[in-house]
Order: sequence, then structure tokens, then C-alpha cells
Amino acid sequence: MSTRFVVERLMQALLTMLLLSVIVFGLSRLSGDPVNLMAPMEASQEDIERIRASLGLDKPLVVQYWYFVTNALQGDFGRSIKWDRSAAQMLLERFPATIVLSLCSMGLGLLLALPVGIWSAVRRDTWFDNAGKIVALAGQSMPTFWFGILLILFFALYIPLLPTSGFGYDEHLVLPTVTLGLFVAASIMRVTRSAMLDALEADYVRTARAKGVPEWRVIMVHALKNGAIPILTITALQAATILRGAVVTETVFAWPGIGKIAIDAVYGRDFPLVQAAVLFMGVVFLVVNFVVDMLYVVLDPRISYVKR
Amino acid sequence: MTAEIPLAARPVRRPLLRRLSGASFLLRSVPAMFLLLVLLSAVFADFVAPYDPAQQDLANLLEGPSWEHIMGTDSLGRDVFSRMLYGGRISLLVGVVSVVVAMFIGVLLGIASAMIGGRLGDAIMRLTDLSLTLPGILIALAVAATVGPSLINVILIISLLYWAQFARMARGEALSIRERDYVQAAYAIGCSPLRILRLHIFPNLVNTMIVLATLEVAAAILLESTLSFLGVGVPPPTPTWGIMIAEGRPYVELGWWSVTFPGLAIMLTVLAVNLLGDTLRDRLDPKFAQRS
Repeated sequence: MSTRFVVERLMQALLTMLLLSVIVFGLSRLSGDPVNLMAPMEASQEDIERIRASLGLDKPLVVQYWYFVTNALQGDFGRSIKWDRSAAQMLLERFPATIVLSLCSMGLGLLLALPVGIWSAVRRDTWFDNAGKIVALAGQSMPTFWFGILLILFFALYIPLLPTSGFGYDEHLVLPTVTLGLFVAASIMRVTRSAMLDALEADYVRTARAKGVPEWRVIMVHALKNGAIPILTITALQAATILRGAVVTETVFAWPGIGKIAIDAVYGRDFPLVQAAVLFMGVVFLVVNFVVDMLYVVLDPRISYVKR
Repeated sequence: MTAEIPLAARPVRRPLLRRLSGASFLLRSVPAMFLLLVLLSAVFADFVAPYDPAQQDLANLLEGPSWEHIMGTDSLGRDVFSRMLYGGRISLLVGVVSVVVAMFIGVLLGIASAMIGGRLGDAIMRLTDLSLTLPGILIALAVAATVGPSLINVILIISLLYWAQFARMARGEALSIRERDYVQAAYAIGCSPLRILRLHIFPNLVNTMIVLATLEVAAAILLESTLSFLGVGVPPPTPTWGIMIAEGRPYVELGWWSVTFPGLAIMLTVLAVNLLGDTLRDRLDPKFAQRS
């Protein structure tokens, strides 16, 4: 792995982060004067001026942006207006819940998508393949939140097996995981299938068969290894999608992760918290992307990404 | 003037009955007909809808499907079917308009970047790459929280999130078209860049863009419904499919219909648009045609 490639990617991630911070900062200034939200009703003009000065809002925008960035780099994302707590701390407290939900969903997604995708490719154009195709397409076309509500309706209300919502690393995790997991599985399955179709037609597969390698080994070793790159790509993309899906799923199931906190902050017009949540998720998103880019190079030495 | 086509080059026409009954024919025509139906019922909702979508009827709230209300009534006694017809307006309007705006911005910037090249071209592409990696729904949330939700804002947010795909695709296409012999020849005989753009690049770009746009419309409709569901989309009292699901959610045990039907509407519409996109891709843009 060339250092140049790593540095280039890192620079790009930092640039994106910078853009994101400008957008978030710009929005916070568009939203009007936050002091009016914070100050009590009976505050005098002087009080308001004092609060404004203490927050640095009397300075020029560029200076304010500089404060904003330097504070953020030191882990200070401002304070939640509603809870009067450090926004960064609130997000960190909620982060494990989102991580657990995301990992479980991704696990479930892969567990479903890989076998079905591989088998669809092997049994191309059979009823299994066609059924898989239709289910995957329907899954991709379905709104996540609607599917979640239907799951609640069937498996929590009509047949009271599972809790409708709430938090716990137990049966509370089942419905949100299924909601997000199936959503993720649909895309991964489609890509797995087409990657495997390509791989199964390749010369080395014919060679392997000709040599008398058992069919399961041809599929699981020769073909799958070579189909791994597109599968990894879509899996990585889905990791980012999960973050987005988590906002919705957490809302539907009252799962107390960072998605829920972001939505609650939007409803409560708690702008510092919204800001912090967007930046925080942005960082996670970029880190995931960066790690995936690195993984490509490790997995496929032909990719170097260095411009000719 | 029609030249004689050699026999071997003529498309083989299968018997009519076979063509009409095949699974692929169904996949192609059913989505198109369904979309037409959704479109017509949205446009003519004023005439088709049996009730006023905002008319509350507290004596008949959460009534199941019946002859009076074929999809039941919601928690305020409003007719679910009528609201769904009107909700289709928002979904289609937002989906199509935001993608058209996104396509306009994207194609403009993409072609500009390809034709101008150099520093500026690179800068445009860098911006495109950056905005592809931005976490979309979060920005949508932040924007909605700041400037407040409205129809225009939803459209603008979605188009600002989607233009980059078009820019990247348009640039890639424009670059490859520019290298073809006939375009190079046009350059050589002294055609102006604008003429080349109009006569060679643009017509060759259209198909790809139509295919991409169709698929993006499906994504935009889903995003619109998600924003609506989260309460940051087109604000009430305008009925949208997302809002209907959000409003029906607390009462879902008492009235499955107020959640199920709008959700089905979203799913079937998005599915139909996706299938249409696949068909268009196979038809218009064979380069794209992957195994389906």
C-alpha cells in the first residue's frame, strides 16, 4: 500500500470534513440568533449582549467559524440548549446503542444476503433466483420505517412475542435488527449475485472444474474469493446506509442511539445538539469510508488508486 | 427514404401471443401502467377522490375498509383513500422536480468540468466527490431544522443531495464521447466547442441521463417519504404518504389500514419506477445493461 495513496485519501476525508463543518456552521448562523432561544424571557438587552459576547457571537463570522472548528477539534461541540449538557458527551453516551444495532443488522444482513446471493447465481434463472430477485427489489423499494411499523404490528401487537419498542440488549434488539438487516440484505444480495455470476464464468473457474475440483469448492473458494471485491464495496456502502437507516429505525423503535437523539434535537430546535450529531455522524461515515478504501488495496493489490 | 435491410439484420419478431405473455413483457408493461395510474389519479385527485382529504369525521374515526371508505378512515375520520390520492401528488411532484433540478445542475457542472478541464474542471470534480460522501439525510435534517420545512425546501434539499451523481456520470460520458473519432474530426475541421456540445456530446448524453434520472426519482420518492415521516418534509395539512404513516403509527393496532395502504403506495410506486428504470437501461443504454 503506497503511502501516497493513504495520504491522498486522508486529505480527501479531511476536506470533506471541512466542507461539512462549513455547511453545519453556516446553517447554525442561518437559523437566527441562538441567544434568543437561550436567554430567559425577561432578559434585558444588556444581558442578551453579555450572553452574546460570552458565546463569541459578537465577533465576525470568520472568527466565529475559527472558534467553532478549534473547539470541535478539542472535542467541544457546544452544549445542548435543552439539557444544558455537553453535546459531545451526550452523543458518546448514546453511541454504543447505535453501534450495537448497526453491527447486529449488518451481521443479519450478511447472513441472509451471502447464501441467498450465491445460491441465486449458482441456480441462475430458476424459481429460487427469480423469487430472490423480486424479494430483493421489493425490499429496496420499501420504506424502512413502514416495514418497521408492520413488524411491530405483527410481532408485538397481533402476536405479542416481542416488545414494541424500547431499549435493551435482549429481545428489544430483535425487531430493529430485522428492520435494518433486511433492508441492508436486499442490496448486498443483488450485488453478490451479479458478482458471483461474473466469477462463475471466468476461465479459472472452468479450469478448476476441469481439474475435478469439487463443485462446492469451486463456488466457495475459487469464485467467491474473486467476487469478493464488489461484495465488499456494497457492504461498505451499506455500512454508511445503516447510519442513515439508523436515524429512522431508532425513531420507530424508540431506540436511544445517536439517530434518535438527532431527531429529538431537530424537534426540540436544540441546534447545538443537531450540529454536533451531524458532525459526529459525518466523522463516523468518513472513517468507515476510509477504512473500506484501505481494505480494497489490501484485498486486491491491483488497485493502487495512484493516478498515472 | 428507407434502405433495404438485409434479412439477417432484421430483428426476429416473435409471435404476438408469445410477446404479450412473457414474464419480461409483464415486467415492462405492468410498472408503466401502474405509474400511469398513479400519475392520473394524482393529477385528477380533485375528481377521483370520493372525499375531501382534509374533511374530518370524528363520528367515524378509525373505521375499517368498507363500501363508504374503501381504505378506511384515519384517526381523525379522514378518508384514507382520498388522502392517498392527494399524497401521490406530493411524492411524484417532489420526486420528479427535485431530480430534474438535480439533473440540470449536475449535467451542467459535469459537462463544464469535462469541457473546461484544467484547474477549474478538477475543482468541480473535487466538489462532486465531496458532496457524494456527505451524509445526506443528516444534512437534510439540519437544513429542515434550520430553515423550516416547506415544499420548496424539500425539493431543494433533495436536488442538492442528488446532483453529484449526474455530474460525475455526465463528465465521464462527455470525456469518453469527446475522444471518439467523429468528435475529434469535428474539432479538426474547426467546429466550435458549443457546436460540438450541441451536436455530438449532448445527444449522446441524453439516454444515460434519462436512465440515471429514473432510478434517482425512485430514490427521491423514498427520501421524500422518509423526510415526511420524520416530520421534516412537506408540512401538514398537505397529505403526504410519509405523514399519513407517521400519523397512523400511534393507532396502528386499532387501524392497520391507515398505515398499510400509504406504505404500499410508496413501495409499489418506487418499485414500479425502479423496474421502469431497469427497462429503460436495457433499451436505451446497453453499456449499462448488467445482468438482471
